[in-house]
Amino acid sequence: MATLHTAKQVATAFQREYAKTPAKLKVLDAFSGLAIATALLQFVYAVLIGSFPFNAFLAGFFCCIGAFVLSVCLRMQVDPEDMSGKTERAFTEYALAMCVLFLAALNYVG
Amino acid sequence: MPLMLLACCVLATSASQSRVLVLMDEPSLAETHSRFLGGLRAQGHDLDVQPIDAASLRLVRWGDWIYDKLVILGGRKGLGGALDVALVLQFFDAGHDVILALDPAAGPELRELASELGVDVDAAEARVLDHSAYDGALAATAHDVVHADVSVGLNRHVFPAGIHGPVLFSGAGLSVSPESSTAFVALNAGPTAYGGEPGKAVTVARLAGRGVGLVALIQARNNARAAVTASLDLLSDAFFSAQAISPEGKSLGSSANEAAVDALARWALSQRGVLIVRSVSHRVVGGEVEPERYRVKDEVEFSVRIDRLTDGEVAPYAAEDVQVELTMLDPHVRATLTHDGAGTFSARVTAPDAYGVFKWVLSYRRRGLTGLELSRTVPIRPFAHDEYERFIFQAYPYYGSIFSLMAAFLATGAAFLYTK
Repeated sequence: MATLHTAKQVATAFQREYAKTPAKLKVLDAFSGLAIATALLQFVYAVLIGSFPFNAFLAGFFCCIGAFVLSVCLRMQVDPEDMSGKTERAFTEYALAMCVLFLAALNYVG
Repeated sequence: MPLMLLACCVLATSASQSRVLVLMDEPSLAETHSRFLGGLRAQGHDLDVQPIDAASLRLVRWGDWIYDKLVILGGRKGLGGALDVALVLQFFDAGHDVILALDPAAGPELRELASELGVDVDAAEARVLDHSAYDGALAATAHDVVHADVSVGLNRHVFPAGIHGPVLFSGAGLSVSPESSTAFVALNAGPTAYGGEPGKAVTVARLAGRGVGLVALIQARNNARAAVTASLDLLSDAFFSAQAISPEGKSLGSSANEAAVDALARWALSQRGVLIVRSVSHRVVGGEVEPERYRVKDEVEFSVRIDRLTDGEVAPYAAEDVQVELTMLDPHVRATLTHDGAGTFSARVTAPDAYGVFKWVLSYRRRGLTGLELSRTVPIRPFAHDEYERFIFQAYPYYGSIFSLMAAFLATGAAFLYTK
């Protein structure tokens, strides 16, 4: 394996390989990215403007983190390289877990 | 208003009927101090004059105090009858006033009483001497009758304005611990006075200068009062009517002893400088009076009506230094009360943003005035769940993040299911 020296080479290699990923997983990756970006934005907002009311901050922030974690879990289950083959069942569990997460967050946000 | 009138009547009657036990070393003191005793009678006291060592003396009968006040003149003889220092202190602790005019050569028993009251009297042989402010007529050679000035010191609540002329004093000095919160010296000797034996050289004076106290007053924590002096001459008819003469032989006018002693006796027998609290109330501004509890950040008001007794006359008290605190372990809010000129003091504050059991505390102790300690307990509660804004503007990004994530989740779910 040739040694990759520069970050640019790493990026192009990543893009080339990532193009092979199925569209299903790309959708999940986009959602995970959105969740983590929202979490970061809220954190910056809390630092700059203030975390009052703190319960709302916690609910919003951890809702995003939770959604990110659940999405990653789903992605691990439906990845064709090591999948068990039960995509529908995995998605049902994921959807249920997300509903519970949103219910908890909405109750806690105040 | 009827309550106030009633209170005034009660005060007036108790003042006019107060029974005073006067104890004397010698029966002759009744003649040499007749004007002092006459002054006490004129203040409305019912005097019972007894020899100090009479075997029939008693302060208590069937568990009740049979006198309201106690005046002791002398002290060379010990207390007789059922009296002893411990009983006199019990009498004082029960809220009764005591005047103690010691003979400078008083015995240990009454010196112990003075020290129990917080006053140290100079040694038996010591006298207050002053070689530059002695009386030219009464002590031309011994220099043991000194001139004192009532206008020196922080005594505006003790001495009325308009006492002119020097006060003649002959006796022993006394001192009060500077840390004492109850006793203070009301009358000092001049800056050149010291405590020593007449005609003897003194190398170390235990008391000197302004540190020589002539009369000490005590305002105990239970608001009982006492006066201590180590001079009988201060109260004598001879000094009351004497003309003060300067050491150079010039007349300084008549002595101020009668007016000063009258003021001291009135103060010590609780007829001057007595503060009376009529009513205490607190409320939420625009809300109910004395509510069961406040809410955090409520605008609340504390008010108290204070009157002042001066020589039998009750008048509204006026001062700019009365403070009240809202306290839960530590004071959270401290405010100075403003008065309306008619004795009603009030302060408006915002209740602290902390909840728990709070107390309004008014603690007012000033030299020469009755100490006031008032407290009213009032808990402070946080906002109830329906007293907040339903949605807080600042939190909109947090609300928004959850809903945007839900929308994104629905879109993702649809895309996930319908993508091959």
